[in-house]
Amino acid sequence: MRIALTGNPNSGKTTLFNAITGKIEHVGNWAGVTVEMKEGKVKPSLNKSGLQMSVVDLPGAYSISPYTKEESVTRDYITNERPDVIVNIVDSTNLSRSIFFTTQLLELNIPVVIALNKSDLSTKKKTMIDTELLSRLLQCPVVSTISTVSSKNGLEKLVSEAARVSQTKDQEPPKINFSGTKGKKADVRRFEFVNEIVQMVEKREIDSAKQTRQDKADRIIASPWFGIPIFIGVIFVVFSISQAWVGPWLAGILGGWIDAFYGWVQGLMGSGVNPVVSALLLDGIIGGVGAVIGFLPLIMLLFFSLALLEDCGYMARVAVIMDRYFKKIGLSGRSIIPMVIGTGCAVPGIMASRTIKDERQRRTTAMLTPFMPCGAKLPIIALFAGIFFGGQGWIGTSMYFLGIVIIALGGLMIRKMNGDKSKSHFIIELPEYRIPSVKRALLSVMNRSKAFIIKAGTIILICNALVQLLQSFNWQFQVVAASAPEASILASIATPLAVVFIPLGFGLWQFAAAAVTGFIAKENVVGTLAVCFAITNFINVEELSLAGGAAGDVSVVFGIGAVAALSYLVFNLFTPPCFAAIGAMRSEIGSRKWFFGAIGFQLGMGYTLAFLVYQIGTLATTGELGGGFVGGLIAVVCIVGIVSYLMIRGGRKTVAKPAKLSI
Amino acid sequence: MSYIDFIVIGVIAAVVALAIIKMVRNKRRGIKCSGCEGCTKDCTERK
Repeated sequence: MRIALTGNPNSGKTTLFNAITGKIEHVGNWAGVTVEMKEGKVKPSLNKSGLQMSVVDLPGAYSISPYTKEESVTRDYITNERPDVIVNIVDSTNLSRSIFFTTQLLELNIPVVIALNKSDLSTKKKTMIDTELLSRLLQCPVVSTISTVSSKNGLEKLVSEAARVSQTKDQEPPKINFSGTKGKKADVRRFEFVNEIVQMVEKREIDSAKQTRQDKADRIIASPWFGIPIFIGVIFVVFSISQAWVGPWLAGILGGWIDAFYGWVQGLMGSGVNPVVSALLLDGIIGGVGAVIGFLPLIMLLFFSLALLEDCGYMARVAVIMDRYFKKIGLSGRSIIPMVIGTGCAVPGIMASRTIKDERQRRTTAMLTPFMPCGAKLPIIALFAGIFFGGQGWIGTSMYFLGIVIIALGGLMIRKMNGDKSKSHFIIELPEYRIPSVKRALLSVMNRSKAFIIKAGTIILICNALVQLLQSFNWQFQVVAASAPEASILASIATPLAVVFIPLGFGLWQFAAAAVTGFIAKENVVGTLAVCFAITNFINVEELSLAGGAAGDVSVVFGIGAVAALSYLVFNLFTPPCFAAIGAMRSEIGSRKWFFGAIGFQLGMGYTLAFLVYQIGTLATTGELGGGFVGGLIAVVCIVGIVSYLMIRGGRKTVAKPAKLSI
Repeated sequence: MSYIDFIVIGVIAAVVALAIIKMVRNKRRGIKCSGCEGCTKDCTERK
């Protein structure tokens, strides 16, 4: 027996799905969290019917007529797959909006059970709903549920009602008088019918038109004046906790354990092992992977903080704040949702762009989402912020907001290239503020940490082992002396590439090699640098300073200064993402021209930004321009020239349109 | 090459083989990037 969970966005479908199946699918306190269906089995503790029950969680929909791609998933599943029962999750705090969809579901001749969810919140708001009357009027069972609590939540009753109606199959849809109407007029009739029902079953003690404390808070938090400063402050605190206040302390402990493991393996092998074999295991595998894993506590803290912000309802306000600015560049607040998701991993972030109906906006969002610093890029930020900038929280914060600025700039350019002047409208249902669930945030962090560790133990490990081997041998397969790694295969491949990076301040083969391996997975940048510089622990900056000699200068170890380090950081953050994200971009963009344009745009953006950071930074700190200025300038002028030409051409397209119409 | 060298090489080969097996299994499940299930319907982080 298959049960389909349907309902409006943010009605609590995935929370209910998790509660019924015992799964830990991601939930979020805003609309549009689920974009594809998920399946699970009903927990035996809830299923007393003896029937085999599977549950399908569907993306939220306001109507059976799809407006967005993910709404089509719901419509297609219900109409084509025809589940045995539909459990319609109705947000009891917003009955009138939810029941519109319910009436459409009841007309499909599939048994429906209504889960009147969030009933604790409606009680708190002093809203009373007569469930028996509602059940009689809609001619289907109605069960009050609270899916966020583990007992007395109504879920057992809900499952047994679903089992019962699937056997009887005697439901009749409510009679709505559609005579002589179709299309929009029929919808108006349906709305009238829904409003009549709501008036009969719902009694509100608090007038919904009256301003609540939440509304007052939103007037400040989402205001045009205070919204952005508050957002900057919040993100600064998040990055400071992760990368300055608590993260480094925890990472120091983990780094100590990794060092101890390294020492233990070294001691176990003894001194009789072949140096190449020993280096492959110690520096390539343990050192390289350890350097990446060492940043795990920082990443966990950042994800934990972001999960709390999302759960309390703040991130939905961020979408509203950003909408004001994004609509001016041809995007909308809807684009900010994939970008917020992209701070975890660019892949689901890019995929979340499918919630955007407008094709140009959707493609632009998929193309620009990788500019947000994802989880894989965080070790790079933490590495350079820790080593060159004393672990200051503002580095991460500024990279986060630089990402947003670049997205805005990129959106504007793409809009001009397309000659599009259409205006976008964004409507989001703001969820209630609530105390964030530490349990949900911890589950989210555990999932992401698991993914990070698996990635470090698979693709990162293999890449680091390969880098170590390429660094150990020359083209004649002779072992390269430790003092002359520039004779290695790796150096000979990376050196020609490094020439391109001289105008950016990091024209060293080690940085070129790390940037290239970063396209496989961004964590590889840290792993490759660890292997190339034979450093296991990037967290212990004091140790690095000691390696830098009497001056205690880490730039001696790496061969670049703070300005070049910032340029390298910018280059890695704003050039194309890893291959997996590039693959996701390709499938979401769905156009070869747009896809290759996106890759070219990202490469050009990363190179130009890094050039500007290095040359302006060097000029400001030393009074002279950095090395390779002329060559870099020629490259940047070419990039800017191509973009300008495309923008002018796009502008002409817009002018040409009305002329055609007038003929 | 001493016997300890072969033991260490064996350990490295085993670790790399395990990593490759995991990646191949993930690939079969449609996962493009090891560790992250973001591109599949199994993703627990999918939004």
